[in-house]
Amino acid sequence: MRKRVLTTFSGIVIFLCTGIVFTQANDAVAWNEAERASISRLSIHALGESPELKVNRVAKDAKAAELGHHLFFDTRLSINGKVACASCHLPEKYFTDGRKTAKGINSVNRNAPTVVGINHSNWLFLDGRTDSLWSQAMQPLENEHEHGTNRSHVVHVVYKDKKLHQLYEASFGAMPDLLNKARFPEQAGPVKDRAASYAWQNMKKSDQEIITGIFVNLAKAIAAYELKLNPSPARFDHFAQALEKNEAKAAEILNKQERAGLKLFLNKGKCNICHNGPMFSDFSFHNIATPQLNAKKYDWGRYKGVNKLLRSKFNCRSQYNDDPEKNCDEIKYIIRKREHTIGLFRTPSLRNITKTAPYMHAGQYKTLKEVIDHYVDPPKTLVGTSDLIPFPIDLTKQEKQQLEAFLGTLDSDIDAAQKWLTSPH
Amino acid sequence: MLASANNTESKNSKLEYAGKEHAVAILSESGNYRFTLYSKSVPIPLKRIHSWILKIEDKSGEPVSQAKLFVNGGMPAHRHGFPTKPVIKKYLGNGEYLVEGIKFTMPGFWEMRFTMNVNRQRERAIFKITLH
Ligand code: HEC
Ligand code: HEC
Repeated sequence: MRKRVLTTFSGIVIFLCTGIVFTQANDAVAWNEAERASISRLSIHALGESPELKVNRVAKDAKAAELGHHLFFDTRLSINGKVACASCHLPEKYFTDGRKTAKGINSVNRNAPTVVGINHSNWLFLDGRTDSLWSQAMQPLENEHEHGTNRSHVVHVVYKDKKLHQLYEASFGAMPDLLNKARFPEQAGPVKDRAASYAWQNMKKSDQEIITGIFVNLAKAIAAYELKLNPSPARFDHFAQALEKNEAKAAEILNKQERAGLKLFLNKGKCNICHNGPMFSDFSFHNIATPQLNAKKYDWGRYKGVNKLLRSKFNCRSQYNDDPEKNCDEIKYIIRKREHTIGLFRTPSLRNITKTAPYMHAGQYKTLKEVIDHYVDPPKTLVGTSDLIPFPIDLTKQEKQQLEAFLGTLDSDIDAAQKWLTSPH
Repeated sequence: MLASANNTESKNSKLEYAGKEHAVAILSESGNYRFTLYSKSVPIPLKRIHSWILKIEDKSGEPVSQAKLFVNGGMPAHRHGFPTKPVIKKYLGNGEYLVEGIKFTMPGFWEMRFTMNVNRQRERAIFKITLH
């Protein structure tokens, strides 16, 4: 009896020892082929060209980026002289504002996402209501809650500012003469503001087109600036590269907890279904049953986004798209049906996610822990059908921590010279 | 290559469906029609909208012309559809139809499901596609 117990006991000891030896020896190769393939596709080195390069002729123009840099930080481009893009997209907060929902002239019902790396998405805004970086940039300026101004005002600011005027002409050629105030009022545009809207309607169509043409160019310059803002490789990317070379070193780059978190991200957590590709986003739309911000007025997400996009005069099909081929297949084959678009939001990138709390389209969650809890126990969706319900995930407390630790390995700097990360003024 | 309409997830080479010479043929669920499918773009692209060709023949090998066809699909394991709305609007002759607006967001196991209305009957064929 005694002997048997002893044997069993030593048996266990031996088993445990080999177990440990086994994991250590195989630490570097603990990734199967499918996982390796997923990891290399998540690596920042797999990042392709930005779709903006095709549709914006000044996307790579240095002078245009400089002009865009000025405009991004310029509070004159607002109705009260206090709001700039940088008021809600603060460089020191990874180009977000740390608020639940943003605030400009008034409160906005969405959380301000980062602009870093977003040039890689086909769809801009959380509901994808614009399909280029440049056409996105026009909207906050004329939105009554954000900059609250109008295109004529923006154009006149640049016209009268010697430096900006010069930068403009360096990229876009001579600016027409706008001194005739009867033809080109200082405040005019297709906006909510009555006076500005009235003044706009009284302009000749050809004069409206002159102003709109310059306004579009300014938006393209802002996009050229935003194209400079991309994430540098993170610890995860160094790991992915090392793993490709089959180096045992990979295991030194991420610690055990982080590697366990990566496994969960790819397998049990199913995060990779939507957060895939080098920006950790498929840049597509999903309903994940995020709680509604306003119990009386639901946010319908993509459903409204599609309709706004199709009605926009500045979408892919517009005359302002600089792509001679004008490939607008994304619009041609767009999903419009209400039941397939309601309650969907674009998958956000997870790069530098630790820096951009609070989370979700209206800052519903304060911490990453809360976000992970959402996936483990998703609430009922109030609009449409949740993409999460069919595959519940069950994570232990420890696994949740591992997943969160992994998300931290996506932290990195912004891959841009310091001058782009501060105000030029 | 002829597989049944309910073939399980294929483990075939990267070439499957890639161009005419790697077309895959299956029988419709009733067994009355033969559907042959391939991607016009080779290799099959990821994250880019592109077209496929579907050919339909009856039991005797006669091409089926001017059929009314619908397509949908997605990733069954993830329960999501295509990110686009693909359509079949063009008949190319010889039993061939243009399947437009296909986009794959990621590698993995996808399905392309076709429905054809003929003689007041609904014919279905489901293709299983593993993208690498
Ligand atoms: C009042 C705060 C505010 C101001 C000012 C503002 N934004 Fe935003 N920005 C937001 C919010 C909120 C969103 C998300 C809105 C939505 O999806 O409906 C957003 C979205 C964006 C996006 C899309 C990001 C994505 O993930 O798709 C870009 C790019 C952007 N803003 C750039 C700019 C630029 C350029 C300006 C100046 C012309 C600007 N913003 C001014 C708050 C602001
Ligand atoms: C079905 C697609 C899908 C899956 C699966 C998925 N996500 Fe998401 N994720 C989204 C969408 C869409 C949003 C934005 C929702 C919103 O704004 O309401 C989001 C938001 C997030 C955010 C907040 C980002 C931000 O900037 O606000 C984090 C963090 C996140 N997901 C992590 C994860 C993790 C970790 C997993 C795996 C456990 C996961 N996601 C699985 C689609 C998905």
